Amino acid sequence: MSDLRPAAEGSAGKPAASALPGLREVLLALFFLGSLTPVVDYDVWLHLAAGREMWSKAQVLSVDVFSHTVPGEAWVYHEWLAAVVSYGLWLLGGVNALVVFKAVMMTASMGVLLATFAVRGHGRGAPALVGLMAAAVSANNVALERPHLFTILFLNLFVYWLNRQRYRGMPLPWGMAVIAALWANLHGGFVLGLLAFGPFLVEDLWHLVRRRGPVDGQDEALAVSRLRERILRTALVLAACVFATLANPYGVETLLYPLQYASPSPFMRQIEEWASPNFQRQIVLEAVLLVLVAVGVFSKAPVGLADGIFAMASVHLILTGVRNSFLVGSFLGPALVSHVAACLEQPSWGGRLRRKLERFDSGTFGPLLALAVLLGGTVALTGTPRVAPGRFPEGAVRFLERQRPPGRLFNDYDFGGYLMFHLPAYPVFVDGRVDVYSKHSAFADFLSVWHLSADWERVLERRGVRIALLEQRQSLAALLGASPNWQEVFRDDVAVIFLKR
Amino acid sequence: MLVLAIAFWAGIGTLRDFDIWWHLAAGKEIVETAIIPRTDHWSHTVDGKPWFAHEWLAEIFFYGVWRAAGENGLLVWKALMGLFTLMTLGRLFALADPRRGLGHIAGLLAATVCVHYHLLERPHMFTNLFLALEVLALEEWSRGGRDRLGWLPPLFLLWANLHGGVVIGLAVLAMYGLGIALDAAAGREGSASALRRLVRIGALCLAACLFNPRGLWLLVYPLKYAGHGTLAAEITEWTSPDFREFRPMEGLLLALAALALFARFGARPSEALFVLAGLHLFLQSKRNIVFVALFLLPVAVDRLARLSAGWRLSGAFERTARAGGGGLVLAAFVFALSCHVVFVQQPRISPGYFPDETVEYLRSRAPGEVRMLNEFVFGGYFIWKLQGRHRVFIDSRTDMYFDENVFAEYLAVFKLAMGWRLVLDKRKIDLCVFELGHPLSTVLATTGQWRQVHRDASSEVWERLRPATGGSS
Repeated sequence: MSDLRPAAEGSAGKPAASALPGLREVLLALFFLGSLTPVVDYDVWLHLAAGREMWSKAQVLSVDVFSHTVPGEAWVYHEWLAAVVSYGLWLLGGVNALVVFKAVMMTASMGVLLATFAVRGHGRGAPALVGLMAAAVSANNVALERPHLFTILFLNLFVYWLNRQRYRGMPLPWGMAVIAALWANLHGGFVLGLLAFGPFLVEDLWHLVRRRGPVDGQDEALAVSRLRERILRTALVLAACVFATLANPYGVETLLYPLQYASPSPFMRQIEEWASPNFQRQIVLEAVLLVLVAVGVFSKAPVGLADGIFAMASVHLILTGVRNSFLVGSFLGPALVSHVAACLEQPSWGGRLRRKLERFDSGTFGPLLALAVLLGGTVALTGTPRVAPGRFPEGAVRFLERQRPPGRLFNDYDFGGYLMFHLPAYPVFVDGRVDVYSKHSAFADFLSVWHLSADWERVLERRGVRIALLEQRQSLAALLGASPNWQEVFRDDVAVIFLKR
Repeated sequence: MLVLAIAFWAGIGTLRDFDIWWHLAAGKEIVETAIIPRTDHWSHTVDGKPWFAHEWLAEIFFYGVWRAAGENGLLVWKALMGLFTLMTLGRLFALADPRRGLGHIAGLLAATVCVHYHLLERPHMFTNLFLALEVLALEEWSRGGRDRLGWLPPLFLLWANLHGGVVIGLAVLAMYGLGIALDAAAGREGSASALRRLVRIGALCLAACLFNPRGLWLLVYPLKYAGHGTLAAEITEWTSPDFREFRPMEGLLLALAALALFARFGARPSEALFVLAGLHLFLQSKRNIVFVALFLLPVAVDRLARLSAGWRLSGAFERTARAGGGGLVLAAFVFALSCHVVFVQQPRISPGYFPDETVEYLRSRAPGEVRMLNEFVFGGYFIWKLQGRHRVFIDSRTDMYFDENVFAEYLAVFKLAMGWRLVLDKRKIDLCVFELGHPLSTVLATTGQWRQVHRDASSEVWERLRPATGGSS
């Protein structure tokens, strides 16, 4: 029934433990340290601002309170709990706490992935290392201090439990429903967790259909009975998870919310992270995909239906959205390790390489990783704030705080979240919440000005804008600089401010 | 045959490429002067700087076709090149699926998508066809079939004078050599003698390539720009494919992935090398889509043919393929349609696609009266239509402009980057011509120093109100 059955750990049984740390732990430690990168993402501040608002008012946000273009507009803030957590972390240790949290979450996600490889019989050695490296470098694209960190971890957990049921016969835990409830309040990616049940259910149903008819022998009858039990369990846990996701402040709206991303709107096309990967820049991601293809074309091992569906879905999602690149680990990783193992069994050198790596990767879990987390985390927490220099409009914010010019603000899309958190006195024109703005004319107005359409001045006039805070290289800055109606009052390497004359 | 006939019919299309025009201008000049241009004299930005028309033979050919059959002649030529490429690919796929069943027909349909994506009236069509011929010859030979490798050196001689893509042809030879070496390492017999033969042919092909008016320069020149980030990022056809817009191609890649996953036949190292190379080239630049047809599809056809052996559907295709007479019907169809397009139809140019009215406006200005900043894509059209009456700022001979920093200046103005006004002043620009609705229009209007003097369905023209003074503003 199983296409790639779980292998024993190593071809010659479990390798003897070594005094050396396992390569897996070395990789995980490096991954943790490598993830302690400064804050570069603009939306981090948006969530901090929302978290602060909810923290101070002790209530979940359901309308916009940050902009002057859509004030009071309904806002399904499905990530509200993540915002509260982020703000709590920020209160505890500033942005460095967010950075350490990111590294811990990413590393934990990779750890869960390794556990998934293990339930498929490839927890150590070359296959696990290839799978881990592919997952780690692909996930690096989305290693940001944002709510999707929860999705990466929880999705890997769901995939682990589903694989464990499939390959080790352990039934899905009901605790998945609890995670689902939590997840639905942390990030819209919980839908991926629900979808992850699909390929396993389809595969089991396919096997059941193929076995319809008279049953030969007791073993066969037992297998069919177990298959039925597994399908029932999967369906029931899935139903429980779906039901659990309704436990959120917005009810069914939270469930429907992620569907809007299924067919990208014209507005979403403006957003870089939703774009198709530009492989001229995403060289590492391309290399990983080519490795996957190489494994696919070399491997003679059969592919299970579930693995096939996961592979196709991931390729589709990754090719159409660079932010989905973490799926290389979650969806493709488990199948990848099985096929790397199969590939290494074909040539004679493959077996030798695998055995060598297994010997080297046989240390006991933990001490090095724990040390790296402890030391790296401490250094990161106690150092200067890890914010990417020259990325955020700190100088412009200080200028506006000092000068307090009157009027409404037109801001760079990227800067919106930062201004929400650092300059609450000036409601923003737009920020990373495209879903809120695109429901009304606000986002169209923004694009009209941003793309320098002929009526840009009328739009700003209608919106009462008298201040423009822009990234200093933007075309709009050239336009305002050329206009006699606007005066440049501030400029640094990051931003420029214009005031209406 | 039905697929090929439809492909030919759909391949004619309308004239939509801007680059053909400067190729025509070059062809005309070469024919009239009997000299291959070595310096530029079509632009005011790089006037007198070295520029070599390395695609000179293709340009003479284009000009000849245009003289004989007008724009529609070029369209028919393009469709014929697409058809010949597909026919060659059909032969290539037949090596993998000799019974011409489901694998062959699916491969041909997928190849049609690939070939048609970048089907334009430009010299690279020669490269597409010649690459297909080269791979076919190599595949026939490597599978123990007819040895037509001797044809490759003359093919390369012609190719080197038609399009710079001949370098890719040499790279394919090198890849085949590497593939044979890899297969030998994996235990395949007879590889050493095959490798020796390929090295000899490769050396002859390389020597043949040197028989061009610029010698070795031709082989070095494409490499200089191959990995250049700015060019690759700024020129649409060189960018990485956007799969949100490119659904058929994503579908094809997913189908290939499914085949790789479920066919389970493993791959020879050489096959894997070609699959990875084809995929890499395509992911880097959408204009490389033809490599999907050349490198990925033959492997896919092979797997699909083996997977579908015995399927009823595949059998139906096999029976259809055995029916005779299709070639004659196709030839008759192609001939009749070509004659109809060339001799009966009006020029197949989408109205308003090219800036004809702007050309008329520019013609109304005295020769040399204005120094123009033109949109990149319009450059070739102005060169051809204005015949030197006004020289362009830039056109799609990107390499030349890139060397002289003109491309960066162009981008500064059209992206309204810092210093955009300095470029206009430094170059003493008094006329800006660009696509209708470009943001530059809003900015020029805002400055109060420019006025719109012409506007039509495709473009607009702005003139400086006071003469440029030179130096910084």
